[in-house]
Amino acid sequence: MQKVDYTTSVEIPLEVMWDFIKDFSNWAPMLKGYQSHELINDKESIWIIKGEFGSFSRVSKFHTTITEWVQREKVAFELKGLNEPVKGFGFVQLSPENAGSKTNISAQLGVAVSGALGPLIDRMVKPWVRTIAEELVTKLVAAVPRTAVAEHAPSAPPEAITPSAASADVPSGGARGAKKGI
Amino acid sequence: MRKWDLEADVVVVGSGGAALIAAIAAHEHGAKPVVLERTDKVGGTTAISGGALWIPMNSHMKELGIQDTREEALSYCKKLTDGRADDVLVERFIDVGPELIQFIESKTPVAFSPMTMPDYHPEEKGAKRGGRSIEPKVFNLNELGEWKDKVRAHALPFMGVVTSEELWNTYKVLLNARNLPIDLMMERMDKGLYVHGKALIGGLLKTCLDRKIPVILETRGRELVRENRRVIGVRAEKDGKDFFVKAIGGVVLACGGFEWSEELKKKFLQGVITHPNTPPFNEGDGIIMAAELGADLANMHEAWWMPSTAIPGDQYEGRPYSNLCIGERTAPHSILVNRQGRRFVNEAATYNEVVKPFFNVNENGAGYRNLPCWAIMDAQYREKYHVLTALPEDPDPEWLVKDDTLEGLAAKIGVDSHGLVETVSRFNGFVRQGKDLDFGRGDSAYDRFVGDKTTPHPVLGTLEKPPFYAVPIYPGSLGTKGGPRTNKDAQVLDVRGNAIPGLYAAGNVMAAVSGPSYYGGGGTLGVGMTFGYLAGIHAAKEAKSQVTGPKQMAASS
Repeated sequence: MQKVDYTTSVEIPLEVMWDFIKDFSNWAPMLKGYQSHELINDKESIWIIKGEFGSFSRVSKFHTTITEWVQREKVAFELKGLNEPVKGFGFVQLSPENAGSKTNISAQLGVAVSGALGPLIDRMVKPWVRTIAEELVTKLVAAVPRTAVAEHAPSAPPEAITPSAASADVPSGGARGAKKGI
Repeated sequence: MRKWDLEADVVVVGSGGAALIAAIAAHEHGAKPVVLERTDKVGGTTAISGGALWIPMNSHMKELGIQDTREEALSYCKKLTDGRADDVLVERFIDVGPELIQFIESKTPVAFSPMTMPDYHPEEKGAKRGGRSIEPKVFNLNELGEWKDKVRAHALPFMGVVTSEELWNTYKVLLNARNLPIDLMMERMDKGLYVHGKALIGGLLKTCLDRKIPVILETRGRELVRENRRVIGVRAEKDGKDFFVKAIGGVVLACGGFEWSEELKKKFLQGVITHPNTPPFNEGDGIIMAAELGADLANMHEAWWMPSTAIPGDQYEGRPYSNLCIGERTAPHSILVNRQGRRFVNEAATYNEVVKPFFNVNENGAGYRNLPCWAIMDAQYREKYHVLTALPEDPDPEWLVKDDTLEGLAAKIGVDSHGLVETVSRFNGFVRQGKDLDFGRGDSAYDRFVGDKTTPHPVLGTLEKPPFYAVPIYPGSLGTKGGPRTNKDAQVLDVRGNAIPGLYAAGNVMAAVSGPSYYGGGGTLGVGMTFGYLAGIHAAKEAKSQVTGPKQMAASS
């Protein structure tokens, strides 16, 4: 099992950050090795990611399920490899700072490779897992529209909803951003 | 007067086994060599190989209690080359090979142990059932200091930490990766301990570093520089600019074959290698440089063939990565078929022989009869052996075609359904008889060596338990084996048969001394390094001769 935790604080209001994150299509291409994704429904999606491990790379397909969706606060997910014995989980959690002008971002990504070769493959993916989380948050912060940051007032307190109950604020992006044909 | 960026006695182009041993041998004989490597890593194809050398009469054979003679070795080699290689070179290889091993083990940290693998045609006269193939013992890459990470790595970094003998005999991993000794592998990786080609290159590189032999990376040899008839240096490319290196004694071309050059493959090979198994930098640089000076090219239609498999999307160094196809064709419960659903080869034969019939042409002359080729397996196989990188307990990957019936499987892969059903039925009959009457699968000791020694028959098993599986098998190669002809000192010959002064070739650059054949495990490196060794010695003497003059050389010798 390789697990990486990442925390950072950015000078972006939580509401702006959330608006950006909730639409997968905004940030999916920033994911290291991202090839495409397709939404199956509100909770499930298929992601194709190219993992680079030294001089070797493999394109893998993952079935991802959102396990927790707390509006303006947290998205948690689980993933399962469709061609490899890989399972994983992760979350992104936002919290307001400095009276709402800043946002604290906590992210976690864990990947476990089962099977007889698990320990060896785990060793291969270790540096990849570490960089994938760090790079994503860095790119994501840089990509949030500055105009939105300037215009937006500090956010309202978060309200919790379940993925199935999500309506207007469900993960989006399949309709306008996801690549098809997988 | 040309301005040289660097001067050396001997310039070696390439950094695989043949190249590094040429540099070390030249240094041992008083020369100052330099090694130029195109990529940012040392080791070429050797580094990702098993690192075995096939050397008849090597000193380690006695450890297995196996005797060998020059006559037996000659008989075996000449039978296999069938007149398509220079007998003088075959004899030279057999005579010098044991000396090479003695040199390596006395002058470098590389140590070998004998392998139990039989020669690839063990029933031929003069063949041996083990011992001629030797492999490097463990080498600690930490001894290389900052150069440790400069040794070329296999696509899968955990390859090359367990010896072939351990893989085949101790842990029986060849057909089932589930048996890999994970704890031992992790421990060795933690300690920097490697075997196979990485150990061989590691040990040779250590010697180069200890002897202060410059190994210059990211410097690609492009053109030979000649004065009168003599090769006096090489124009390389470094940082996008010309980089001229003077070679007083000569240039040794040891930079691999041309299996990654689409142009040369189309020009010369009997069938195109679509899935090479080597680092994607072997584009025939050395062969082109030699040909430019009128070198006599030979054996250009041959390669070290290897049936290959590939997982869509897998890449090594940014190019498609191909796996060696071993268990998928040698283990029980598997066969290879063509689009008619017919078998066409002894699947468990040596890899070099399995690919050749891929290129048989259809009776009407249009297209290859046995391409595309498919490995067909059943649930018995899937439950016991790995398929590419999928272990028995892993979920069936999408790239593995699967169906509950042979007819359904045939339809999915575009193979004649009637042919496949009939073929499987016939094959199952052979399995029950214990003898493959069509292609003799399992008749040879080699076939049985690469099979499953724990089953009633090591390579024969029925295909009868659904679901049935299929994976495409492609023509791959461990390198090409055509190039400039050489003499017994590895000097390149021109089309008139005269040595081109100052020019040498070794390894997969040179026209192989095995002609169309593959003597045994390490047949590539054994011959390649022998002629690299000879090239280094001769070029060093030439360097001395160029400086002191032939008369003084004679007087001093």
